[in-house]
Amino acid sequence: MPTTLKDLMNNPKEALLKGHFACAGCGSALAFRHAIGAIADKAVVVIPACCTSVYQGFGRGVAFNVPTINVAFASSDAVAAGIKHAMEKKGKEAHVVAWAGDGGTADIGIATLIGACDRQDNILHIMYSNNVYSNTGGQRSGDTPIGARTTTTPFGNKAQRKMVPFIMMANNASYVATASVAYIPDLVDKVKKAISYDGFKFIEIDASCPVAWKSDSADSIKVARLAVETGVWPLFEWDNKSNKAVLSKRGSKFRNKENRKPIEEWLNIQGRFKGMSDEEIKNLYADVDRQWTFLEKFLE
Amino acid sequence: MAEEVVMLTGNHSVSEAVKRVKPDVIAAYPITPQTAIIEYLSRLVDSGEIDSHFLRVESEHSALAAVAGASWAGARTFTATSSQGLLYMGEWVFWTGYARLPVVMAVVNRCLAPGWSIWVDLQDSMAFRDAAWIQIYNKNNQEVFDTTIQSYRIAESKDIALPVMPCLDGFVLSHTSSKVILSDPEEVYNFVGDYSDPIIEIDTGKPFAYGSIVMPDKYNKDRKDLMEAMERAKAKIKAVNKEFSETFGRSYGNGLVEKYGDDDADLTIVGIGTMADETQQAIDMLTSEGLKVNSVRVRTFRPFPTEDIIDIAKKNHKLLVIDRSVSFGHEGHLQMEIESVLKRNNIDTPVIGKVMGLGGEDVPYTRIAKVARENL
Amino acid sequence: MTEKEPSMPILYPIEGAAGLTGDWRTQRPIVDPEKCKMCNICWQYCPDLAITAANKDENKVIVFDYTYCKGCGICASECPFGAIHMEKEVD
Repeated sequence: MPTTLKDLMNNPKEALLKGHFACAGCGSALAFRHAIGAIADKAVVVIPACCTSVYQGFGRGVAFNVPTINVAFASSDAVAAGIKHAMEKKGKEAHVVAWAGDGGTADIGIATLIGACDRQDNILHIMYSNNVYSNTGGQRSGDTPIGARTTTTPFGNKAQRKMVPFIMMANNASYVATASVAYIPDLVDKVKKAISYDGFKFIEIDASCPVAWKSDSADSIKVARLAVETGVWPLFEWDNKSNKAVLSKRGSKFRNKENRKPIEEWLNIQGRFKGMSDEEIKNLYADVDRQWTFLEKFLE
Repeated sequence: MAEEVVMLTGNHSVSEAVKRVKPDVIAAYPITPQTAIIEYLSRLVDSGEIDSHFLRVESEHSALAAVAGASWAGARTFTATSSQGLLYMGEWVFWTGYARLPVVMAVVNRCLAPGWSIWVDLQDSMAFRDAAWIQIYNKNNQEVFDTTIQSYRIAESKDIALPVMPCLDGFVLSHTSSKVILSDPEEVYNFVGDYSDPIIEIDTGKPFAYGSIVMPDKYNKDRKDLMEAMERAKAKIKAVNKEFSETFGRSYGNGLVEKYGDDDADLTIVGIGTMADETQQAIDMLTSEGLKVNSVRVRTFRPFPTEDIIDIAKKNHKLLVIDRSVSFGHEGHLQMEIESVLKRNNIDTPVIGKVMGLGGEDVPYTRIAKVARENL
Repeated sequence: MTEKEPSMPILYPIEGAAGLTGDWRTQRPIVDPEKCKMCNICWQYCPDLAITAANKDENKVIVFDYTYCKGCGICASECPFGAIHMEKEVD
């Protein structure tokens, strides 16, 4: 049964407590609230250096009501795998989740990510992407879209976007999905589905960052929704048994270019794209096409 | 199952010890000259001979990360590395020490690059003397077996809770076979216990956050506690050495240092590892020449055996410290630490330092004896 | 005799780990009870759990927790009925 809004109210306990350190309008905090909330009773979270390791809190206490292990930047999946193996050996049930940003997942963390995938370590990796190294002030990452102004690409990022979900598909993860903070029941469905699989599971969440994206904090959901509606962020699931990708209900119509809103609608409410040239916009459209071309190979 | 007497390499002596302590989780990445340790263990795991989980990780950094993860979850763990691998997992070495996780990691000492070499010196483990690990250096394969077992008793004591590095010289011990008495598995397991009351464990019903941001007051509190634990570790290592001797009939000096020859010597040669063991033959040679020379092998380098060094300096007339590692810009590590202990305690026994054996350079007892004669 | 246990960097879950985050606000959400249809979409999208969901049997309108609300404005932006607007904080 697909999750409904009402279902979201029935978590055994809250994973995220009030009064945490995240910025106003933080997509990551919203994602953590619901993604980990859905599995809160048995979740163990491993967090490498990222925004989450800071907004967790410090000094007096933490805002996470689940066991949380904070670890060195490039090693989240290795630690998660070690924890999972130990708990299995001790006969203790746990949903061990490596919760990391785009840097800790796919740049500095890529070896540990793919290593755990290769071994099919029985963990779930959730990458929340704000498309930059937000925790250190917003430097460019492998997941930065073309044209984005970041603190290390002040005149626009020229490099292609990393497409991490496809890397995980190529490495035969047991379950791969993309999600968005604009579609919470869909996100929760994917988390619940992921933990039903054995082996290495991966979910990437498009998580708005008003600070790095220079968008209004009130627009955090709107901008995530537009990413899906413009085709920039396809919503889908894939698993290694079927080797087929299935577009999610909320995003399936945007497979067809005619149904998509122009990318400019997504660009215009984010200051990080201010000053983009026509050339850059063209390159961005091409990079978006590149990911759909790849995805098409796995769609019916 | 009983005690076995075998011809065994240093590496396999480690594996045989690890087999007997029954770790829950092992994660390791191969690097010469450590590889045989983990190959042997992976065979034991996959054949079902031991009931451990073995993660074939993709790097040393992930090896210690995975082992630390398992240790946080209350498991008994093991890993091993050398040289560049130890450097690559460098941040995790500090992390594990500071986190007070009772991990045991065998370090097969190998020099650092460049030039690229697989042979022994102690620069790798010496580079991590600040990382809050207990470091015990071994002279022969028997001690390698014994120390690896003792390491678990030391690390897993709640009043210590520090990771331990049993160190063995690359190739000289790791790949050379000698006689080793492998103690009865059940006796060994009883000696280390089952770690059923872990120092820390993860319980989904009792959440806590480990390692989030701390303010200076908490940070300093944890560090002070760590320094005190290191201080207590000296007595613990001595006690475990004594208890091991009572159980298995083998001991190594007082656990911290091992002396050879009579007190009141004109020259005392101080060293670490196989070079210090080789020194005993030099002592025999020099003594037969009528010279008053003795030697000390520093077995435990961290915590530093301050009291024993003071005692040795007071009972003898001159120290010749032979290091197999050096801190560029200053002196050999053992030399610097001995000099600082003596100065701090107003002891004016002269200290001469030599650095020998870097990059696997052969240091036979004849050479040690020659240096001793020159410095009498 | 209890063995000494190591001093470790461990913290426990608490509400208000960052203090009273309501102090961060420069604007606050206000709801019009007439317009609130109890859809609870705002409750769903609040990153700070600063909204108590509306319930037709109890509180028939959503309630803001101003102790912790950071004033991001997501609720006002997402309400399909325009029931929430943001007002500048006065002091």
